[in-house]
Amino acid sequence: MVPENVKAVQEEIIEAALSQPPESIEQAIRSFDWISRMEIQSEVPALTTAEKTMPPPGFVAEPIDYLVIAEANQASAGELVPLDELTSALQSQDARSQKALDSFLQTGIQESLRSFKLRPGTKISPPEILEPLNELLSADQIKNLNASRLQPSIDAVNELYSTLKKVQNGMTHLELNRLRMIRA
Amino acid sequence: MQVFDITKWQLASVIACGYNFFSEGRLEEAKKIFEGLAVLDPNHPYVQTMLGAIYQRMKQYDRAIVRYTFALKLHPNDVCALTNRGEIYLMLGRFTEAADDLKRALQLDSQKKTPAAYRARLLSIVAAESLQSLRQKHPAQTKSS
Repeated sequence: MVPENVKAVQEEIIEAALSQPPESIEQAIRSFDWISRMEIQSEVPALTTAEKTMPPPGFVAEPIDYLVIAEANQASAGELVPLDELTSALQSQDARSQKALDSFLQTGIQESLRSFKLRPGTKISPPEILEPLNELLSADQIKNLNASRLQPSIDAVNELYSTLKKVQNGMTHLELNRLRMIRA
Repeated sequence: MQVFDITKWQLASVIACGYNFFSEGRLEEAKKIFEGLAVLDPNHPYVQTMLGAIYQRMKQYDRAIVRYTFALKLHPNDVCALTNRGEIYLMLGRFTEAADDLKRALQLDSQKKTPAAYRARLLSIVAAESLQSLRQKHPAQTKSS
């Protein structure tokens, strides 16, 4: 019997295929010709056991596992912290501590963004990918701050902070409860 | 240019927090964390891949594709982004693009130990078998051009 999660995938593929013109389905079949050449069928456990072993849709490895591979592949490190340093930090328990989170909330980023006096600009819908603050606040852009471009990015930082503050408050409650239990 | 100073501990703690929300299925909170990080550090591949996964689970496929595509520019060998984008292409009937992504994910997983690549293997087989069975059941509809 085909497990439910595989069956759902099959149904969605067939539905998507049926919405295509016939020649597209033939092309689609040809697109997957490489499977027989790669002999991958024998590597995958039978579909009947897939329920337990298949990761869910939208699976992403844990940060540490992902970053070790990214570092080995010389992927972009972003702009804030080199990949090797971030990897070593994630390996430590300290990364999951309240202290690290508290210190992020005290960096003053939110306060410094609040200090910009933005004149309301023309309202436009936020772009698909929000503009990075380091570009919007670069030396040549800062003279002519554009509120309609800057505001969505500032809003995203504010949302980040408010979410983390809720986590911080939750952690504080947990810590207080633990202390009460120790004293009791 | 870097406008803000964030230490490795601070960034690690925020990423770990966002991943916890994601793994608990709290997608709105995870989205807020990674969207905020993306504004502070847009060229971080993990941040972009996580946003792709969050939008994929929210079934906002167009947004997810944009994020995975961006992530793959930053980390071309990202097996998670390739597998997940390939799966979305499958669901959208974009089979040639799906096959390209899934094949690449499998080629990158030469040691056969990445969970995402396991999904890529299974998706490829299910896709190939589903398409073949469709041709057998509806030969008239799938007549070769």
